[in-house]
Amino acid sequence: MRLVIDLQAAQGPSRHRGIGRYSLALTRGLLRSRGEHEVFIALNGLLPHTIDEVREALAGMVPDEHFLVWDAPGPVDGANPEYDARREAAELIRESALAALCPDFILASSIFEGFGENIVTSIGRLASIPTATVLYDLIPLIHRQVYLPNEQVEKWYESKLGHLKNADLLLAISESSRQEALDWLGVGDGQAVNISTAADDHFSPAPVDKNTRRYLEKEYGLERPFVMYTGGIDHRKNIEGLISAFARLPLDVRCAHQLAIVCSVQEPDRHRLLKLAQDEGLASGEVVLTGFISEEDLLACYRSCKLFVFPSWHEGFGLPALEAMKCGRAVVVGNRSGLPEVVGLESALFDPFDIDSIQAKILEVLTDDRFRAELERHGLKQAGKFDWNNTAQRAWAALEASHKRRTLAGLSPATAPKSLRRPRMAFVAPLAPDASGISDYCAELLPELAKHYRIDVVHPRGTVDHPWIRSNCAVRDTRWFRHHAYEYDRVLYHFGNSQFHSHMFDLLHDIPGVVVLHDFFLSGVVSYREGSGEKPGAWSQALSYSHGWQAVSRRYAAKDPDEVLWEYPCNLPVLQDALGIIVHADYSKQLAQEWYGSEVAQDWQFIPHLRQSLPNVNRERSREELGIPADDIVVCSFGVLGSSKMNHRLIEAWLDSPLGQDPRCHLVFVGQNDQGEYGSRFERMIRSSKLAGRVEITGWADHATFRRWLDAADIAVQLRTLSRGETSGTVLDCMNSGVATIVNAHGSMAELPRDAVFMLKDEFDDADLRDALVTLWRDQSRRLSLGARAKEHIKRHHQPRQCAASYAEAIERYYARAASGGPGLIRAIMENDSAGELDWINLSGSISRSLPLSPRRRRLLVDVSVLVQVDARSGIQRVVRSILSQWLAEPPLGWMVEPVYADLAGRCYRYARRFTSGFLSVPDYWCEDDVVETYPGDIFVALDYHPEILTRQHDILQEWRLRGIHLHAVIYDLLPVLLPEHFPAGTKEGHEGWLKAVSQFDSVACISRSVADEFKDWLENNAPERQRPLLVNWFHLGADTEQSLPTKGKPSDAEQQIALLREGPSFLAVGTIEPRKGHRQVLAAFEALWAQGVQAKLVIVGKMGWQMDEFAARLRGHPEIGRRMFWLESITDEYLDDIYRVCSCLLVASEGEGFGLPLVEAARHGIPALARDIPVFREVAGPNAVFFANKKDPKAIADAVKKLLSESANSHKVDKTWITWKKSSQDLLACILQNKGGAEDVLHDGGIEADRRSGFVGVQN
Amino acid sequence: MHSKSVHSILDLLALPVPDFVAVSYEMLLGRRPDSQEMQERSGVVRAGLGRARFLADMSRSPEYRQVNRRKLEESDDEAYVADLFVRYLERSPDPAGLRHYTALLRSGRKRTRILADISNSREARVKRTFWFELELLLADELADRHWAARWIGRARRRERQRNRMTEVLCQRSIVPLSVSMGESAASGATLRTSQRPVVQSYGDTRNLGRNARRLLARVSLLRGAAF
Repeated sequence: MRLVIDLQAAQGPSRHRGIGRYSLALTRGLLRSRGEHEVFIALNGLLPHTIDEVREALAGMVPDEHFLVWDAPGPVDGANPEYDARREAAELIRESALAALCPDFILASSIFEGFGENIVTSIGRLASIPTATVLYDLIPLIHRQVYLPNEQVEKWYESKLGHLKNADLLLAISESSRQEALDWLGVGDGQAVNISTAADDHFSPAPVDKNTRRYLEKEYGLERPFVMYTGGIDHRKNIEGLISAFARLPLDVRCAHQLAIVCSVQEPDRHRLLKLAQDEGLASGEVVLTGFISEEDLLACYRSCKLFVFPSWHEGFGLPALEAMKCGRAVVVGNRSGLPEVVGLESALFDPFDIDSIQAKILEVLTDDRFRAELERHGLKQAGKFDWNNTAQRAWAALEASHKRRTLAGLSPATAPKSLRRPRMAFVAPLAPDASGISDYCAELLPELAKHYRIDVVHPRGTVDHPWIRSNCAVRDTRWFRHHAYEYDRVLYHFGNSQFHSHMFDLLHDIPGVVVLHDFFLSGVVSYREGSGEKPGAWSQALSYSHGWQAVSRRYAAKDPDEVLWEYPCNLPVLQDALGIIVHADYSKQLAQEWYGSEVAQDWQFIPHLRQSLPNVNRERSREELGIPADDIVVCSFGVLGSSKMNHRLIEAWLDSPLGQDPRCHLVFVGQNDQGEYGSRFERMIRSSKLAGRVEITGWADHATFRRWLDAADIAVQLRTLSRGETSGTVLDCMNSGVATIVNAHGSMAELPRDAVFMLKDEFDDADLRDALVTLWRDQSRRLSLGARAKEHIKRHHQPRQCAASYAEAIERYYARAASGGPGLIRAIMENDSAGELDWINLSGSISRSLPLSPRRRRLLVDVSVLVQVDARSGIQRVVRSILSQWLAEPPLGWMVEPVYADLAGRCYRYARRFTSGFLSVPDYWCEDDVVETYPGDIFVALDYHPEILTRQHDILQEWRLRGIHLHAVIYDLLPVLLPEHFPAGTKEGHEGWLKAVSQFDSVACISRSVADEFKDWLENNAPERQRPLLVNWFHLGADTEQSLPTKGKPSDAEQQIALLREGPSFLAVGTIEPRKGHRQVLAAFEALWAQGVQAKLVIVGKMGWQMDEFAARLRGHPEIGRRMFWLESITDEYLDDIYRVCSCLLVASEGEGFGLPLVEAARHGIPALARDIPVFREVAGPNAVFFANKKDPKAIADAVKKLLSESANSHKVDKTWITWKKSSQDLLACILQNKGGAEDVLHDGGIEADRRSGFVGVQN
Repeated sequence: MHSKSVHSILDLLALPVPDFVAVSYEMLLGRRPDSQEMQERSGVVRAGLGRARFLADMSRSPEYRQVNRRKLEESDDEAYVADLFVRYLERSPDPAGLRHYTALLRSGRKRTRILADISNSREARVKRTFWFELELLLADELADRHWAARWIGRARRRERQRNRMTEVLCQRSIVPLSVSMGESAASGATLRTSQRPVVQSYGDTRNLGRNARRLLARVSLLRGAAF
């Protein structure tokens, strides 16, 4: 059984107490004892701040994909009559979203919610899905005059009561509340079940130490043994009675005790109660009103009270009494409603309406120590009966029983009684004279389907050339249909892969209906739409939408775009727009699962192709008309010729067999020859063979000729290869006319029964085919029996009437589902909105978020917000480019990669389609940068870095995260925060804001272990409050520049420069001229070296950054410039490559880096490095570098250079292995997907493995 | 498709610049501008070319002529007449009308004559479809370029051009593009029927994704029928 629990009660204002706590505890109990059952949790997106808390409370018990967060435009609270229309819309959306999960049962944690807040509860407004709800009590109904004081409250309560009556099962929290349901709601005995309740385990007996006593005395003034009450101030709680009773105690007893009323109390109530105490003659301090106290203090109060009194005259259950009993206290309660069953002891009861009775009971307990001890003992024992596991098991048992009753009674909507009038159907299909197999099919189907529906056919022309249709159906054109679509109860679309279907795409988009998918591949008609100008760019749009960027680049890279036609089906929009799919072969289902995942196509209906059984075949007359002698053997192949029909293979086998030698054997291809190259080659092949007279192509055969050949044939051969899920009608025609048919087990033909056709292997060889021909040629009886069985099979399984009945059944089933899905929801909301008050634009956004598209691909939304605007060619952008190009070329299995960017003005994200087209060098005329809609399971990757954009989009991203979109960020460094003095003013603050934003993500990947460590340190001191853990991981960057679209070109003096550098030992410093990079220290070191006469050259490569103007001026005017010192500003990647090659050592003096890409590049060129001794350089360069001490003194560098020059060149072997961008992008992907279950292989770098274990940084409140 | 929300020439002229360019391309040339064209043409409009002038330039482009010539020459007679009917009368031809015009065509009457006949018909002048208005605008605009025609009826033309732009301005202020429904709902206000903005105004739906737009299309289809 699939149970959806609506946990809004745990999101409301009382989420920390009472009903909220009960709902969460019950849910946890249900999850623990779920056994085989599936449990989904539905949450309300209008209360975003509570979602994380609930998710965390259920962490590890419910998988991520079992959370549904639905959404509706707010506010919707019941107190405001102006919100009525919006609230009703929200109720419908909620029901529709829950119904989309296909639950067997819904459990509403509380129905009486939402008067003062955005909680939405309803039962059976849209969908009649079995619903259970927890019933706490019916106090407002029973004590109307007190609890329903004004019209608005009464209206609200009555409407909720109306919904409650729609519930199939009430789970009462006590026997007394069950009894209330029976008495006041008139529900049947089996419809209300007592599942009881339990108190949290931390309520337990324990001695109270002196410190606690002192604390209670100081904090609340509880200095004497006290009588305790807790549980809210309310009329029915009868606190007034308790105070009066306490006042009537004998003076000595009263003076030895206090009365503690432990709960939050409003100021007017406090005055009223204290005044009452005074009037009753109580001194100040005898009654203590604590006001709101913490959970800890409450426990202390329970444990230290002498007696707990609960004088309420109406309770659903009376949880405080149970909690006090669990703490081992003596408890006395009123003898009404739920309380007696909680306490379970006659002598602990009193009459709450009788002050003297209360007084007497209190007096008895306070003065009779034995009695008190007995009550304490009994309480502990009685409390043991209440346990969450018992409650959960009772709830499951009740749900199971109710589910079973319903199943037995067959009350599911599918078998609900049908109206006697046939529903009206619009039948959208190609029809004669359209030259398409599907139009013939439809002409056969229509007369039978008309038994179930009143049918109008819809055709772009508005005219149809078929006598039955013309006389029995109204024929409408598409324009008319658009204006009258609402008049139809059902719409049926026949989709196929030819131009006759091109008008259906837009119709289906706007007018939902059931789709018969004759061909799985719709690429042909989609490209026709583009080519004919009907919808510019349609093909590329469909490729990108259904299959992602890889398919788009494939289209434009292919020499012959037609090749790509058969590579991608392009049918996702149709599958998403359809209310249900009908196919003629299981093969289509297989294809759907291969293309869109194993979840797809499970509800697709398979209906065999239909064939009217033919009257007796008149072989002789047909032969006579065709001029074929009666005794000759005729082998036919039916249908349009083409390479995919393997006609040439048939000829070859035929020529190779005795049939080819026998003048009384004929081979006939009944159908039009291929118009292309294949056709002309085939024709030459026939003409050149010496048997030209006995092999024939008939050309296009009309119905009568086709039929004549079917009658005349002895053997039919129908071969297929490269099938794309289309259904082959001609094989069925052959079988229907009783011809012995040879087929190969390809595509849908593999599903034919083996005893009714001669089945070859899918990839048969020529000998197989030849043997088959010979067998059937020689063995007449086998021919006849095979044909007879084929005919019988068609009669049994393809009978039109039976198929039409299956159609009706499937269509009705799909429409029953649609009634609670999108189409039903829209209609229902519109019916409610007769005044036209609703904001449909907001609504449609909410609905699309609450009812995700299906089927859909999971997507990796890669943020390239900066790159879209400008390619700054910075280090970060190089990373973005490299990783993006890898991901686009090879998306992870089962995922689509979609670059997106922030639209700050529109407050949304958009697909970066135009940018990506340019990035992949494909035309962009077809695409639009549409708004991104996200669905649970998608992943957002903040790959680009821009502090402002991300912080401004923070709200959007958090909204996504709460709905189950995984947020992931790449952290390049923390330098602006760690070394703020090296950056322009404001950089630190910006970066901190960015770090704060990403620390609210689900996971981050840093570009080195060092950065990950720094980030974790930063988190410890600065992390904002989180409810859920943040996963910190790291990966390394690639070094093959050619993958990051390197820049090309060299200046004219490049050769001279390189020759100069080659001469002596040259040290290369690569990096922007900015304070952090340590250029000042390097120059000072080399000046010192030159002064000492050391012959070493210094090459600085890097463009001017910030805060270094004076240094730049010094460099430009330096006496050594152009001699022993060179500064190459902004050079291309190609030139830099040459420089690396001729230098002897890389010098990395930067005081902090995220990664240190030059170190890897140096290793790649085989030159050693001299680097500052900081953790990230040790991590990245490893043994390939010599380190100098991390000091600012130039001598540190100078000494290291001297030492290096004194050693022999061979002493620094460089390990030339470096990781590629391909590997790097895979590593990053592994970091991202590891907890999403998408990657098959996440084991690679030991670093990631190790870190995964230690990488959970759970920062709780 | 933007072009669907454009029902009159004023709708077109009132669009934001990039949309105006894109929709003009779609309606006149039957295709979308590529990004370079988009940038360049939006630029000239921003620089003050004038929207009417922009459309006139486009109507004189070889591409537009070719598209038109294709229309004029390639379709069969029935389809051609039907197309004219839809363009200028917003309906498919009645059988009598269709017969009449196809007979004329068969008797050798030129297609341009038929076009003139239909586009100047009484019905067309009453209905004033987008294409009717567009041609009027183009005629005004092109007349100003001809050396001889320039002075004839100039004052009236100028007045018409001025008034047209006034209408565009009025239209923009009536359809509260900037007062999107999202904002008011977010602030918790309930919209009274009297102040309810036009639901299907162009600007409001631009921040919706594909799925939401599909829902809206389905709603407006039902709604169009229901009201």
